[in-house]
Amino acid sequence: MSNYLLECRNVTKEFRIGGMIFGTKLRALDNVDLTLDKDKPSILSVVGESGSGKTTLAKILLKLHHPTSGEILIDGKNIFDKSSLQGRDYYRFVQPIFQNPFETFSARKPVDTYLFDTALALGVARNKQEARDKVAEVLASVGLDVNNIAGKYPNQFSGGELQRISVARGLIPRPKLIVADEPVSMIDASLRMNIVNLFLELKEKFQVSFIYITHDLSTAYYVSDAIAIMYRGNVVEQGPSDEILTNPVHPYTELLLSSVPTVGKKWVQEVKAPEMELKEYQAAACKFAARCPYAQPICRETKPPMVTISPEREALCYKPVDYQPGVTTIAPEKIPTTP
Amino acid sequence: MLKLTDLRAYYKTPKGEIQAVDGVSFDIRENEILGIAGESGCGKSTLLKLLYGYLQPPLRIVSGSFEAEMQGDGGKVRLGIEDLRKHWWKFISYVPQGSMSVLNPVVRIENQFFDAVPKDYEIQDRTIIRDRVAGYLKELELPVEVLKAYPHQLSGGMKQRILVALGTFLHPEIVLADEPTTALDVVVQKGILLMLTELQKRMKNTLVIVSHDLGVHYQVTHRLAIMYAGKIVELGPTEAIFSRPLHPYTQMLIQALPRVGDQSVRSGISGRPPSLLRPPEGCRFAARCPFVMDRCRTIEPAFVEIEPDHFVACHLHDADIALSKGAAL
Repeated sequence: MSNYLLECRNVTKEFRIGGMIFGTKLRALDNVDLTLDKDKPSILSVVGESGSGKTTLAKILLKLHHPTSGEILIDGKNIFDKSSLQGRDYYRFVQPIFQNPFETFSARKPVDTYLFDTALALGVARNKQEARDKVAEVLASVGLDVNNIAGKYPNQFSGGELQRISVARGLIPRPKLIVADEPVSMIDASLRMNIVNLFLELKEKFQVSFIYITHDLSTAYYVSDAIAIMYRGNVVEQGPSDEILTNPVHPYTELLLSSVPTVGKKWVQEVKAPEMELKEYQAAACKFAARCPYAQPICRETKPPMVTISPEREALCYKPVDYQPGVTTIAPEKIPTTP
Repeated sequence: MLKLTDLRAYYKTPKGEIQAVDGVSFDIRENEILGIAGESGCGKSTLLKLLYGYLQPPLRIVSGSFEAEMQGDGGKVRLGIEDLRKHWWKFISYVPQGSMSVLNPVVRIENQFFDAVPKDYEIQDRTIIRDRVAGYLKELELPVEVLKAYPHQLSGGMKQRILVALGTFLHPEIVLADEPTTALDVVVQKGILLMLTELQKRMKNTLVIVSHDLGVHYQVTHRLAIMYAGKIVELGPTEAIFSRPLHPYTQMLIQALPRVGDQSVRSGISGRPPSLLRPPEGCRFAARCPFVMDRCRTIEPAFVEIEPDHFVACHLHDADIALSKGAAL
């Protein structure tokens, strides 16, 4: 038994693009290390722009993709091993919430059929009566009344309500981990907070941990305990969300933070927008070097080390160690302090 | 430049009429960035269709007036809503949401530019137009090679930039942008918004931005209109709206925004907007409003000017209520 609920160790995923012979490899995940504590439930935000590999990570966690190398351990056991949880036992442990609530549910089926099917298919309920009780219970836990839901079709709900139903469906097997891939990006800003607050409430009530995948830094800051910033398949900075977002070390985190349209703080400088560059994925050195305002020659030559900033925090960057190769701990006087 | 007076436009459906835009009055001025905010289904896209003169059944104008003023050859020319279509691209243009596949997938980008040039435009020669387009893209710091590309070869951010370039190429007096950055990453979003504002500064024309993200409005707009259930509930200078929001809905919207570095608990707005098929009497926000009073459920609040240029439709600002509140304080 291990101390971690979830452990990703050197997870790498490569996709082939192009033809059989002349195609190239795209490294969507590059040696990703992430952990979630077992003792108390937590919310880990995975933040990055499109093409950073965050959805690939979600798909691997849901066993929809096999990693090319590396392993994912749940309770100390590799999820792709025979000794680990199999089939529906696994999905009783991990449940997804998807991005677009309008596409999650078929327009031609009443939404509650999905809830019944989940309860029956995962063996949570043995018969229809039990399933009905279970569905009423989970809907109540997300603040909905089963009598207002039963028999209705998706077009009769707003996006926020559908996403709540989606969350309720995920709760049916009482999972220990919920993987939510951009759960609020399709929802109006005014209703987002309702869903995000629901996550916080469920975390306490059902002791469930979340992997919250998003590109919205402000909700990530609001909801999460820990945060991992991804760029082109690498986790470039990770640690407690409060420290990382108020005091970023990696230049990419700085760039992301300066791009958030915040009320009360006007934008100042011009940014160069990124384009999807295959070259960036394949770069042997730092993948952010081409856009980084602090880049030095060494950044373009060798891959930066994962530098330990504090016991809980690390960043994949040469800047905190003054561009010295081989150094992986930061000088004590440079440790950032939260203002 | 555009003036709407008590405009009502409904969609006709078998179940009845959807009152998507119901009694909207405001004007759009020269050389400004106007934002329109509201949640989905509040009628902001319908309002934009009206501004663009894109009237097609089942949408029709029920009452109210619409006036546009165009800079013609010999002074200002007055236009009605049905004349606008003739001046698309030149006088008024529309930048749609790029993630909605609006670019024709089997036509190269340069041909999409040719299609946008009106038949009565002074230049019809394709080589000259191509040079102009290439020059314009360079001005916007976009790679000229994209002209030869098909839409699927471009990233989401690049597609949106092309749409901005397409919409502004003929230097229209009014540019309407519908959710120009929704579904894009924050870094790309900032790039596109700065590009739009930079263009507006350079051309000194009018930009109307529709978005549900108040953060975006704070960053770029000069004036902001908040829409709720087919009506504009608050309109004023952006600074004033964020520092002194007058309508409870606006206050709740601003309160719901999470901020990096601020850990206080935020709540969303509970409940849902009313059906526009049979909207309630009185104030349409009454069912979700924390300050609701008796009169809110029966009398529709008037859209009045509280401070210079700052309008609101709410009974809390009725003379007698405001007076008693002032006395209580």
